[in-house]
Amino acid sequence: MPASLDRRQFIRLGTGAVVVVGLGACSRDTATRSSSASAAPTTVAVTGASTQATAAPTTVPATLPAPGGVLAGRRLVVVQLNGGNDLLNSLPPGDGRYRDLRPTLAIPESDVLSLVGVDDAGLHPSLAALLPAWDAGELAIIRGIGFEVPNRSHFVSMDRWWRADELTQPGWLGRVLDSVPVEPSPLFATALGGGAPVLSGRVVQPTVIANAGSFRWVGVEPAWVDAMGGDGNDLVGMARHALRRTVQAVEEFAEITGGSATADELPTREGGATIADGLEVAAQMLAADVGTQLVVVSAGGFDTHAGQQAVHAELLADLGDGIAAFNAAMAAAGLADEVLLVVTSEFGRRAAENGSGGCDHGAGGLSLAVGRGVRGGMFGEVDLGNLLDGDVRPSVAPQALFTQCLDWLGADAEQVLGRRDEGLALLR
Amino acid sequence: MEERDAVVWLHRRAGFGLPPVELRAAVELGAAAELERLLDSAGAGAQPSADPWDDALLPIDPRDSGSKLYAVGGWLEAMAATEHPLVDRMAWLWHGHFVSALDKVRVARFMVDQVRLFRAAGLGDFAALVRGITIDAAMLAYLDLRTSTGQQPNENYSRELLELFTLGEGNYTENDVKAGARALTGWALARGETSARFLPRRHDDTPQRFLGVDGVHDLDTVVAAVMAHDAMPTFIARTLAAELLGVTDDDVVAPLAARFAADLDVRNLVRSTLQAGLDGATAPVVLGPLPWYVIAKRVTAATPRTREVGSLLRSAGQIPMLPPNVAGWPGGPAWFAASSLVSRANVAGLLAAATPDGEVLAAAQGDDADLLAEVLGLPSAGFADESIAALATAPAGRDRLAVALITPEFMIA
Repeated sequence: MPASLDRRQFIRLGTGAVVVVGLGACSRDTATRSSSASAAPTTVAVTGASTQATAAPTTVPATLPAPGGVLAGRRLVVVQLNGGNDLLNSLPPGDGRYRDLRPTLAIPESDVLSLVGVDDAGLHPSLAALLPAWDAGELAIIRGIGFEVPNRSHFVSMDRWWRADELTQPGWLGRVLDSVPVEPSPLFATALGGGAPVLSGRVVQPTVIANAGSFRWVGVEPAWVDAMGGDGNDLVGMARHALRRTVQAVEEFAEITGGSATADELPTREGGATIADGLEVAAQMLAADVGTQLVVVSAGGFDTHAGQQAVHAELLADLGDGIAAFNAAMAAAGLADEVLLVVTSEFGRRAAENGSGGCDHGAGGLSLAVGRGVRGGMFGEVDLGNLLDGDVRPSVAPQALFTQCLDWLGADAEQVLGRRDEGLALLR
Repeated sequence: MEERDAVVWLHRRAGFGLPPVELRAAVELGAAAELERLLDSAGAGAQPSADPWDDALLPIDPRDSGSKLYAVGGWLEAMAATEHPLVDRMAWLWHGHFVSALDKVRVARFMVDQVRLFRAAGLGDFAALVRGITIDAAMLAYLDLRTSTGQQPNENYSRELLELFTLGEGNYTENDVKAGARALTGWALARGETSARFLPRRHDDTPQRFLGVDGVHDLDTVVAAVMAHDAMPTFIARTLAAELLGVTDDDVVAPLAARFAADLDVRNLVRSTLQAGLDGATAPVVLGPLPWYVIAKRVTAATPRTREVGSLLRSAGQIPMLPPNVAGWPGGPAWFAASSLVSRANVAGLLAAATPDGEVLAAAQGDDADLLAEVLGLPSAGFADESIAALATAPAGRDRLAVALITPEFMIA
């Protein structure tokens, strides 16, 4: 971080609550808090906004993080499916028009998995591993999520998702990162499987770990690298800062995964990380005591313009199995009450199949929210009789999902996003 | 810009660096002459750059994995050994712009042919390059044009042609994407063949309105309409300015775009862009892992095992023929991600271990940081204090050389 960044001050109040007074570009105004606040939990404004102990927006959930600590111990995992995951085959509708629109690609009725309590849609067979979470009421399925005026370009749509449709702003989670009062540990915000602009702040960057085995020094001693660390606002300064933080990150990651920071030989196997792989590492990091609280797991392959059937089935199996294993790991680590996992993709795919055994870019897509803090159920809608230019018409805005995630973290969604979107009430 | 710094600037931005003996010779010639030499060596009449591949080792079989390693390794070697650095640096630039990737294309021979296209046509007429890349076998596979028919057109290529390759967001409509898709139908790649064939029965020949032009119905009319679009020269000029200059201000890009619009000749655009840089329109640019590696290899004359290097470049996030998505590689501070830096450090270790005796190794064995900066082809400002401290921390010799290769000064051009 540039050396000029100690413009944030840190105020600890009598109640033990932690409030950030942010100065400068990262926050919008100063914070105050009534000193007569009771012991009952109230919204903690991480980014700095005026709060009254009595004011509460209508969808603020009952279980908020207890005051104290950065993001009060809550964790968020975002699984980002790059390419545009096909909503309609992930969640095949009962509507007969689905089979008309997809003569070769529609999932056979006998293969579609039933969701208890739902009669107008089911689950792709490859997502079977999610059924226990559904049955336990810990899985929220959001269908038709997307921007009201969709954009069918990957990059524009991803950018809009990352930046909550404010394209000149940093990623919405990056804004949270920027507002954390002290420079957090290097692994506080980690992107697995690829870079994550959603998690990149204006000032603070996440640690990106593309692939676990490659995250070790071979032939170079970390002490030498650390020696050229430093600071500065220019590219060279940023490089120096990054080099030093890399040394720290490698050290911590080695501890977490039971590996070593250095090795004598290069890793012999080099494979692309799947979602399941990424979630396994995410679980290890969360369970370790290195301050990991925000994780983005990215994986590609969802841009199924051609040959969708087999590819999509594999991808969904990886997703479902990965989430199930992650849930089990969180329960085993005693973290199940602290972790929220959401799944996003930049858009769904066209309702009708194309001539190449696939589907082109669409609009309304699928998101998931999983965890003990989730109020399970179906959200949003799909109406094949009311398509938008041949695509599922978006019925839920991404900002609604972000609002829920920010509420989970105890951050002030109005501060971070500019306004709350009450379109989803996913939290218990 | 001072003469040596200007020559260094040219070779780190528009070439792949020079080892000490060649760099000194280039400085003797001077920046202006060196610029012409870079451009001339790529000029008509010069020898074409040597083709490193033997097609017999590139079967047209998507399941063959040996050919993939061969294809990537061959390109790495060719870039490191090139005697036409601008040709190869521009081929690299086009590869990151007109993106296709081996993981989806699957047939290594197609990716090789695409690189051959960029090497042969990357500095000529821009319309010819766009026409060529549209029906290039790898591109046909990557953006699905090979399965796009008049009955069911596939919009993928048409969209990326307009959004990412030639015009940019906001300069076309969804109708243009659909019209372009229809006009570009009919191109097929039969099994076992390496070049596209036009099949009229799969083509929708209906005249379309495309980018404000009526009567667009096929590849040539699509390309003509794109070339005639007002926004195209600016888009391409800005693309090159971003890569070569690290500057995209309108007052720098506008004159470059205007000159490009006059003849659509890429070599002339590169000349005027590099001249603008030498005249001061330049800002620091982070060298991605690939150009950084090639420069380091050429400067040190190191001979590491390509297979190991390839694996590490992949971890660093940049292996040739495998861009992460159709937008290519993100640049700038994105390369300072921890994983990328660790992988670069490990590549540096391999390079240092494989550096032969010579000026570079000798300088690394000594304690003179300025000399080391000089033989490594860095600008005259040399290493800053923090880097000098790091160099001193490492034992003299190969360890010190490895550290030098991952200093910010070496990684940032």
